Amino acid sequence: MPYAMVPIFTQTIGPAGGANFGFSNIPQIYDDLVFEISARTTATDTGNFTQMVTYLNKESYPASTHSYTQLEGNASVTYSGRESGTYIRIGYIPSALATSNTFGSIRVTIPNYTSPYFKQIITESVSENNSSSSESVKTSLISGLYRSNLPISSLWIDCGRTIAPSSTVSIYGIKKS
Amino acid sequence: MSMFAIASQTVGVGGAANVIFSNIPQNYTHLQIRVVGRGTTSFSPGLSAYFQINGDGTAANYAVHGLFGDGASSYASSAINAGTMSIQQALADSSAAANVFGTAIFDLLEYTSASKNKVAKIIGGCDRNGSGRAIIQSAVYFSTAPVTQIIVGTDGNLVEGSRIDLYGITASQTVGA
Amino acid sequence: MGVYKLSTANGFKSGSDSYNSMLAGNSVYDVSAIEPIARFTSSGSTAVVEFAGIPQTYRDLMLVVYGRSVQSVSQTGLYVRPSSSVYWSGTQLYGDGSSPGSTRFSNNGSDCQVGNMVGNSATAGIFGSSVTHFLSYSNSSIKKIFITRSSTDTSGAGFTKLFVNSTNSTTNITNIVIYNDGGNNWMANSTFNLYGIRAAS
Repeated sequence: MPYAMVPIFTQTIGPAGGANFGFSNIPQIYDDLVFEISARTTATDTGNFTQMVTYLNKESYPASTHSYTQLEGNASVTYSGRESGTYIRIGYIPSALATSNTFGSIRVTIPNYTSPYFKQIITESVSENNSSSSESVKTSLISGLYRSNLPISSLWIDCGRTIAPSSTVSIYGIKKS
Repeated sequence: MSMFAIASQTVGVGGAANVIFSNIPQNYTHLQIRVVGRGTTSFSPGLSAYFQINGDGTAANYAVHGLFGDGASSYASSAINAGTMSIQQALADSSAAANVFGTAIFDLLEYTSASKNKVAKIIGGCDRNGSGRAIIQSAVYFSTAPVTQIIVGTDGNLVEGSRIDLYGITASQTVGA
Repeated sequence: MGVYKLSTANGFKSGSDSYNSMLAGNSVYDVSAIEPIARFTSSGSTAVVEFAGIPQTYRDLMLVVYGRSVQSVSQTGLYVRPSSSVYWSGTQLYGDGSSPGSTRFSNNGSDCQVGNMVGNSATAGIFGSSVTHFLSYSNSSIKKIFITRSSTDTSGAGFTKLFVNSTNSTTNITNIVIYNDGGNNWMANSTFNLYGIRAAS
C-alpha cells in the first residue's frame, strides 16, 4: 500500500545543551521535506524568545543565498518584515526567561528540495509563555527562499545561543506519487 | 511511513457536548487533530475549538496566544489562565449559513515527553462568505505529564456532522548527523 | 509460513523471533494515514491543471504546489477550486515584507484564490510554494473548507500568506482545477502533488 510521509532523521539535544542541529546526507529520493521542531534556548540575553534559523547546504556556508518574508505577532500587535543573508529565519523559540519546560513548536516545509531550481520554504512557528505582556511570545508565518540550484543535501538549524536539552528536530520525507 | 490514524469521531444526530479521545497510545512522537466543526452558540464571526488535556480544567494551567486576519486587518491576542488550549473564532456558529463549518489543524509535538510542557500549534479558521477569520494560534498546557486524554469541544454543543480525527506521527531513530 | 523477525527499532538483534503470519506479533497492520494520489509536472504548455476522478475514500486531501507562471509579473494569484460549486469565498492573513494585513473576497462565481505564486519577472529559478488542505472533501453534508499556506519570497519582495476558503456547495469534491492569474501557462517544472489523508476505520 503506498504511503507518503516517511521519517528520515531525528536529533535530540543532550543534557549539556547543544550549539545546533546538523543534518548531512539527506536522502534525495523524496519530493518534499518537512521538519517538526520542538526547541528552547538556555539564553537569557534575548528577551523571552530567540530566533531560530536554518542554513541550507551547510558545506557552502556562508552563502548569501537566503532570504525571507515574515508575518509575526507578539501578544498584542502584528508586524511584517523581510531580510536576506546567509540564513532563513524559520521561527522563534522560548528563552530561559520564558516559563520553564516550555518549548516552541516550528514546522518547516520544503517542497521540491531536490529541484534544480531555487527552493521556496513555508514555515509556521509558535513560542509560548505564561504571560500576556507584549513581548512574551512570538508567533510567525514565514516564507523563505534559498537561491541555489543545488538540491538540499545538508542543513544546520541553530539559534545563535545554546539550544536547551531535550530540544528535538524530526525530519520527514514526503514521497512523490 | 509515519502518520497513522488513531481514532475518528463524527458527531451524530442531536449533537454532542464534546468528543473525547481517551487512552491515547503512547508509542507515537507527535499528535495531530483535524477538526471540522460547528457549534450551537450564536457568536459571529465564530466559536472557539477547545482542547482540554488529561481532564484538567484548571484555568491557571493553560495560556493561548494568536495571530488573526479578519478580512480587513490583522491583529494579535493573548490569554493566560485560559482553562483549555484553544483556537479562537475558528468554528462556525449557529448564525452561519446552513452547512457552513470551520476548521482547525492542531499539532502537538512530543506529547509523551516527561520534561516538556505541552505546546500546540494550531492553524484554522472559518470563512463565511463575507466574514470570518484566518488564524494561527499557540496554546500551552503547563504540565510535563504525558498526554493520555484530549477532550475537544466548542461553545455550546458540537452539531451533528462535526468531525474530529486524531493522528499519531512517529519519528525516525536515525540521527543523520 | 515462517516469518522471522531479525531486528528491532534499534537495529539487528541476536537470534530471531518466528511468527506464523505477516503481522509478526502485532495485533493489526498499521496503515499509513497519508497516501499519494496523483502528480503532475508542467512542460510549460499547461495553463489549467486538473485532478479529475479523485477517489472518495479519504477524509481529507492535501495539495502541494511548486509553481511559476509564464506571465511577466512578480507575483500571481494561485487559484485552486473544486470544479463544481456556485461560488467561492476566502479570508486571508498575510505579510508583504513591510505590513501585515488581511483581506477577503466573497460571492465569487468564477475564481477561488488560495494564495500566491511567482511570476516570470522574478529572478529566474524562483518558484512559489503552497500547501492546501481540503477538509471533509467527500462529505456531502458540509460546505467545503480549504486552508492554504503559500510562500512567494523573491529576495526583496514577496508574500507569506494563510488563506481560509469555503464554497457554498456541499457537493463532494471529485475534481480540482489549479491555475494562476489570467490563466497563463505554468512554467516548465512546476509540480502539483495530490495526497489523500485517511481517517481511522
